[in-house]
Amino acid sequence: MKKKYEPHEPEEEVLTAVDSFQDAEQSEARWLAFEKDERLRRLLVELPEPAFSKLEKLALQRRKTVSHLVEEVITGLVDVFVLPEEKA
Amino acid sequence: MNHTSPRVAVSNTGPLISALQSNCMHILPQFYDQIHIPADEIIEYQKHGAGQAISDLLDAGFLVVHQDFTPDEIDAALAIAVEIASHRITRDRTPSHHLAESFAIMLMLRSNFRAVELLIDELAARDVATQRKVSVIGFPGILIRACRQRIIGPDDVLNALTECQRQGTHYSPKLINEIYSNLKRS
Repeated sequence: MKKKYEPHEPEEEVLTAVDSFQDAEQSEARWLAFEKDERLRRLLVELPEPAFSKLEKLALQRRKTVSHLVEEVITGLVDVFVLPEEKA
Repeated sequence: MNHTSPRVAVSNTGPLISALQSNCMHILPQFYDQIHIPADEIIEYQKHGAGQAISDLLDAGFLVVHQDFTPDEIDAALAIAVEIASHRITRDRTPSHHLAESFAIMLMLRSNFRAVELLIDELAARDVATQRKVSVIGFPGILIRACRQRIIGPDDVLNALTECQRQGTHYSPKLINEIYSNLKRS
């Protein structure tokens, strides 16, 4: 016989189909970002410690992912060093 | 050295009960390596008749229980429970009945904890969580993801949600039909 489980808070309103599709899409995007972060992490993990853990700590403090932080740093470097040279 | 971070989520009681009701617990490890839950949920699982199933998942290391809340976190969770209980959508106005989801939200708010999303179905608690920028997904959303990744088919999603509904979970016929027809079309 199939095991039955009592429902959880059956009196409470639960989400709609629209919410559910939105959940699925946003979740997919979150996990894609997670995977992207992981790929970068695997690359950066080759950095001698504590370089990587410092980056990770900084990202956590700023509530950002490591990849976003690295993107910002690289964009900043390009702005400071590459673009002025091109203009000159 | 393992260079891969585990895929971690936090769950409220509802989605795990739905996964058990619909015999879909096998889908969750496709998306998550670990699901963390606050200790307050354990009593709820026992009440729902899921004590043994949850105990097996704990033994397997798939579920991780937290009871390591600081006094500040406990205070914050109590405040969240009051907020859920007084939410316009909530029917249950007793804050203590919302403690489990409040502690789950607290886990998500820990700055040193790398959970990516909170599994939660109840609208009021979802609203309180999203106001705090906590990322959420309900059990139907997990089934939709599983269907889109061809882990299961639209009929499996229909059967799972219908079975949850048969066992008393509050998924409406409208929700089930809309999800099924949308998945069938795509």
